Amino acid sequence: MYNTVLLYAMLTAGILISVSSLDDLFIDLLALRIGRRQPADPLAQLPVRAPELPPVVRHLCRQLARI
Amino acid sequence: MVAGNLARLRYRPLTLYLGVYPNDTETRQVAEALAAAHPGSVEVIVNTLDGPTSKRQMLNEMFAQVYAQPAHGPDLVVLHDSEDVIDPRSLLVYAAFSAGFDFIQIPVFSLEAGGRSLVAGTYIEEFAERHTGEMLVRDSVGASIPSAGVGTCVGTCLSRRLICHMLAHRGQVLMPGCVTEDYILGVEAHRAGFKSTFAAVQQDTPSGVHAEAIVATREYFLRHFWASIKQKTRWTYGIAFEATRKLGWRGNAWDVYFFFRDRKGVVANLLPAVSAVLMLAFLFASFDGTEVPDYFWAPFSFIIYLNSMAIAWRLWTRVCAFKEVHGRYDPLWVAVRWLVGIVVNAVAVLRARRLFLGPSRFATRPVAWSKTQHELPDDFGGEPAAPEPHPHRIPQSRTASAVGVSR
Repeated sequence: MYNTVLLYAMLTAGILISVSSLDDLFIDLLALRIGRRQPADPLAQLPVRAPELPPVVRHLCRQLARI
Repeated sequence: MVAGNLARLRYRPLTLYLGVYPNDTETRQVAEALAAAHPGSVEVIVNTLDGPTSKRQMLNEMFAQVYAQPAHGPDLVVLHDSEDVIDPRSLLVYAAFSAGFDFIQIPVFSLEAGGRSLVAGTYIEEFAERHTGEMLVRDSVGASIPSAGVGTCVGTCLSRRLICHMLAHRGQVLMPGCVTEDYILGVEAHRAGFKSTFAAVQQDTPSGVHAEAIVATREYFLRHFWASIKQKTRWTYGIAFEATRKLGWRGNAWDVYFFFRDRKGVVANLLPAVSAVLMLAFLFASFDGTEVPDYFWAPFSFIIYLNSMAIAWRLWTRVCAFKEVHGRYDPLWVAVRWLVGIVVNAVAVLRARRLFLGPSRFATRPVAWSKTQHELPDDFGGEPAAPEPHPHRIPQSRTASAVGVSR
C-alpha cells in the first residue's frame, strides 16, 4: 500500500513537472518563432541594432545548424 | 552611485533625484552635498514622513513632489535602486523608444559575484534566461511587461503621460499596500491602454558582439542564503498571491497565459524538492512491484523520460543564456547554481505560503515591507572606462533614486 501511494505521488509530481516543462518549452518555441519587433529608427545616434531573434535563440539555432 | 552614474551617463539634460528621509540626517547631508556639487544634475527630495518606510512610499513621494507642477516635470523618469549599475546607453534607448511607448523596460542582468557566490549566482541564469527569452515573447505578443526584477525597480522608464495619468486617477503612481508594486504598475499601465515595450537592444563593436553588448541594467544580487530567501519570498508573495488578489485574471488570452506563468511558481518551484524527497523515500523503501498494476508503468516511464529530456533542454538553454550575457560557457557552475536556486526558490515558496495564510489573511492585509541590502562594485565612483566590474563590493545605503530626462 505504502509503495503504491508513493509511486502514484511520484507520478503526480512528474506529470505536474512535465506540464510546467512543456509550458517553458512553449515559450522557447515562441521565442524561436517570433522575432524582435523593431522600431523604425531605434537608435540613430548609436551603431545599434535590435536582434531579429532573442540572443539565446539565435545561439541555439547556430548550435543546431552545426549538428 | 551618484558619482559613478554621473560620470558614466553622458545624456543631457538629465537630473538625478535622490529620495531621503528627514530623520536620516547622515544620508541627507551626503545627498545635499552631492546636489551642491552637481547643481542642476542632482536634486534632493525630502520625504514628508520619517523613515524607514518603503521604496513604494518613497517613490510615490518623489513623484508627487517632482510632478507637483506636471508641466515642469521631466519627460521621462527612469526608476533605479541605489545599487544599480546604469548602462550609459540606456538613456538613449529610452529616448528612442519613448516616441512610441509610455512604459519601457530594458533587460536586467546580474553581475557575476566574486568568489563564486552560489546564492548570488542563482540570479545570473534566472535573469539571463528570462530577459533573453520570455520577456521578448511577452513584448512580441503584446502582453503586459512587468517591471524587471519583479520586486525591484530597475531600469524601468515611465513617460510623463503615464505618471500624470496615475497621479490624476489614484493620487499615487505605485499602488499602495503591496510589496511588488512595480510588477503591478506594468499590468496597470497595460490595462489603462498605455503602450509598453521590452527594449532589448544590443550594440556590436568593431571587434564583434561582446559580453556587455546588450544594453541592460546590471547589479549585484544578494549573496547570503537567508537574505536571498527573504527577497524571493517577497517576490513570490507579491506576484503569486498579492497581485492575484489585486489584479485578478482579467485580460486577453496572452495576459491570462502570462499571469499563469508568473503565478505557477507557487506549485512549480516546490515540485523538484518534493520529487527529490519522494525519490529518496522510494529508494529506501522495500519495494514490491507486484502491488502496482501493470498499466502504471508505461505512463510512469514516459514521464520519467520526458522530464529527463526537459531537464537536459533547460540546462542547455541556461548555459546558452549565460553565454549570451556573460560571454562564455560555464555549464558546470550553471548546473550547480541551478540546484542551489531550486532550494532557495522552494524555501521562498513555503515562506510565501505561510505569509499568505497567516499574517496577510489571504493577501487582504498589507504585510511589512522588508528592505534587502545590496552592493556596488567598489570602483564604481570613478570613471567608467572598464565595463567589467571589479569583484570586490561595498555595502550601499538606503536611498531610492530616479533619473529624470528630457527627450
